[in-house]
Order: sequence, then structure tokens, then C-alpha cells
Amino acid sequence: MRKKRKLSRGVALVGAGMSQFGMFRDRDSKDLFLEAFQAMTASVDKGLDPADIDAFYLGNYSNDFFVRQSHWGAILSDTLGLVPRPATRTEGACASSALAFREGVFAIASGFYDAVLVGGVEDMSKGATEVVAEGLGMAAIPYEREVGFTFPGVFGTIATAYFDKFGASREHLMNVTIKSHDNAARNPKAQLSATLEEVMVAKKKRAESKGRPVPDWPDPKAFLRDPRANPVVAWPIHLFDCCPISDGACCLLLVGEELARNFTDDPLYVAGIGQASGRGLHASEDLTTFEATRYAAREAFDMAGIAAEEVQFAEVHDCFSIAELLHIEDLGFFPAGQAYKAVEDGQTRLDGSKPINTSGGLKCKGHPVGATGAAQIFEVWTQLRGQAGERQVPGHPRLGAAQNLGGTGGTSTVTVLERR
Amino acid sequence: MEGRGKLVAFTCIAIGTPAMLKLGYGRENPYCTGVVELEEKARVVARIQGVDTRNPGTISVGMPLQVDFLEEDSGSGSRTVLAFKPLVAG
Repeated sequence: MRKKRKLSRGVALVGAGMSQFGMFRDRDSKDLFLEAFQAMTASVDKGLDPADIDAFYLGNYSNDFFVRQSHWGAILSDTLGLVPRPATRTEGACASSALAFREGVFAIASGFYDAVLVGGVEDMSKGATEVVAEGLGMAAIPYEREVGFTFPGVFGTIATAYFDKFGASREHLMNVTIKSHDNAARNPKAQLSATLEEVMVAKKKRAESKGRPVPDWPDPKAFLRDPRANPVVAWPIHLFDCCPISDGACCLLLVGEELARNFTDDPLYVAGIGQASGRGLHASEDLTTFEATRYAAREAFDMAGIAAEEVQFAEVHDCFSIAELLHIEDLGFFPAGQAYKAVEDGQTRLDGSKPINTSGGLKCKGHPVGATGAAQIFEVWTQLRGQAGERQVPGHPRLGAAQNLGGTGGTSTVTVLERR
Repeated sequence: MEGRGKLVAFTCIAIGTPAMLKLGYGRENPYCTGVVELEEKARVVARIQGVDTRNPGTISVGMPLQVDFLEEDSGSGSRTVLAFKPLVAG
């Protein structure tokens, strides 16, 4: 029934850049996007004349709600000096810029454009936490919102189903968190760029300087078990299971495959793309898997002509620690119910057999929701080009993937990039 | 539909939505939501009442439940919320 898909013209990624991720009181979407655009421009080995950009696709979830301003495609087009080129905004909740990337790929594959700017941005930290949470909650489905579900609540529910079915526990989620912090500590663009050991030292110093009793945590798991250090958000999800609230932007440059060498001698190629829709908690027969991720993965891997095990590393949508476990099973990297053991064994660490979220993931790199899909692809770009520094995946990898989720599983995308 | 089912999965939310905060829920008084599978096999998302939300370890997947509609007003008028509570035997 499902046919194998292909692009009628190959598409290459020849530039990528991201802004610093963080909470910025004094920087707006223009500032952040310009920083990402300049970083992208600097990454184009043989130089980029912005006049060569034919069109612009921007992922943005809800600056409308967060900063009461919409229509960022045209606004940023002006900021970058791209007017009158067409600008199109895509929205797919936290997968908004993965959708922009797909639209850019299609625009080039069709032959209509030769060079397309793809980006993502979100400016979401200016409001109070409950207001930000309300804005994000709008991407859940109405049934979930009506009974009071929050996003941490949705993933907490998924976690209890996973624990019950496979015998995992909170201790296993902690392994995901510890790994995320270890990776982000090696990523200068990350929002939470400290290991948990460093977080513990900072908290002890703070307690000491304020004359409060200094906590005595023997190791990171003891820290994570301490309800004062790591309070419950939506049981069994605790604070350190959650990604932070973030501002940030990311830019990517796509061109027709036959033009790639005009821009760099080290291009990457779009080997596979997949996207699927899902329905929500009530319609899921098995809460321990995302139907949309499994479908998108099959599409992307079939198109690339590869098996899941051939993907050497991946960025996946770890908005909450439990989500990372589900996605790496749904991508086919580990059998159902085995991911928590694989993480415990260190297989997903930088030096493991399948490094996952080398950037620190959403959990620690940060999750400016409209920028996240593009930023995952930025990390795959950085790794495949051997430019990841202290967090470089060893062995000069050739195939990497990014998986981006929107809402409570309503949208999922998978992208496979290849170095030939 | 008889309004009976079992708990498939759940959470106890300490950092709630603005509407739930207005109703007095929060860090000290979490509320429980979950997925319930009815005897007729359909699944719904619902509020779970009558459970110890400060001790989530006492709430278990698979526990039998019965429907318990709530009338709530968080400031924008009264509305009916789908809820379940532990099934009382007999």
C-alpha cells in the first residue's frame, strides 16, 4: 500500500548555523535569527551570496502567543535583506521547523528553486512559566486539555505505562538525564551546559554562601532522588526529566544536488525524509510507542534504502527523558522494552554503539520549540562533517538521523542525512 | 456503556494548568489524570478522583474504576468534566 518515495532531484545541505540557546530577556526573534543566519553563512565553505537564496521556509510554533507577534516569515525576510523573496511559515507544534525543512526539500526537488533557506525560531521565555506552559498546552488535543493534562502530565502518563509494561523505573529515566548533561557540557551552544556533578557543586556552593545546610549527595542519582533538588512536576516526571524553556534560532541552506560543489567540497545529502500524524493518548492502543514515529521512520529509512541499524547516531525528541526511550525503540535502534537497558549499559553514550542526542538533546541543549527540528539537523550536520569537537562521534560517521515530535505524538518526522 | 473500566496509565500533576490552579490544585495538592479503558474496550482520558495523589505509589495501573462526572467552575462558568473514581465493590 505504501509506496517507496524518492526525490525527483537530489537535495544537498551546504550550510548550517544556530544561535546560542538560552533564556534571553534582552534578545528577540530578530536578534536570535540573525545570529543563526550569520553562523550559517560563515559555515558555507566557498561563501554564500544571499542574493542566491530563492525562497525562505520558517518553522515557528507560536510567537503569536508567546510575544503577541505573528508573521515572522516576512519580518525575518526583511531582517536578513531577502525581500522580495517569498517567505512561508510552517507550524507543526514542536516539529515546526522539521516541516519547514521538508518544504524546502520539496521546493528544490521539484526544480522550482535552486537554493532555499530553512530556519526555525521561538522566543518563548519572556512570559511567566504557567503562561509558557499554557501556550505549549495548546498543542495537546482537546480531550487532554479538557481534563487538565499538561505536557509533563502526558509524558508522565506514558512513563507509568512504560514502567508497568517493561519493568523500568525512575532510576532508568535518571540514566537518560545524566547522559544528556554529560553531552551538553561539551556543547558550547547548549542552554544547560553543565554535567550533573557540576550542577551539584554549584548548588552546594550556593547553600554554603547563603548559610543554609549544605546538602550531601554522594552521586548524581542521589541528587536526582532528593525531592528538594529535583521536585516532582507530573509524577513520575520530575524537574530534571524536563527540557527547559528556551529562546533560540537555527538556519540551514539547501541546494540542488548538482549545485552543491559550488558551495562546499563537503556537502551532505538528504537520504531520507518521513513524516506522519498521530492521534493522542485516548486513541493509542499501546502508550509505550508513537505510531507516528514508527511510520515516519519506515518512510525515511525505506527512502534511504537502509535498515535502522545502519544509522550511526541520532538526535531524537527528548522533551522529557521518557520520550527518548520511546523514540529510540520506535526508530528501530532497540527492540520494544529494551531501550532503558541499552541506556543503562551505556550504548547511547558518545562512546557507545549508538550515540543518542550528542548535542545534549532538547533536555540540555534547550528546546525553543520552533527551532528544534532545524537544530537537530544542525547537530547531525556538525557530526557528519567532523566538527563536533569534544562531543564528536568517533569513526567519521557517514549516516545520521534526526527525529522531531510535535504535540502529544500528533506529528513526527524523521530525516536521514548522508555524507558520500 | 456501564461507566466501568480500569486504569491504563496515569500521572499526578503538581504543576497544573492555570484553570486547575484556580481550583486550588498545585504542588501541595496534586491532581490525577489518566487513561481509562472501559469494559466496552474504548479508551478515554479523564480525571481520576478519590486516589492519594501525594503518594502516587498507592495508585496502580489496572485498578478498577467507575465513572464520576464532575461539575467544575474555574471562573468561566460551570462545566462537566469526565472523571473516574475507584470502583466500590458490590
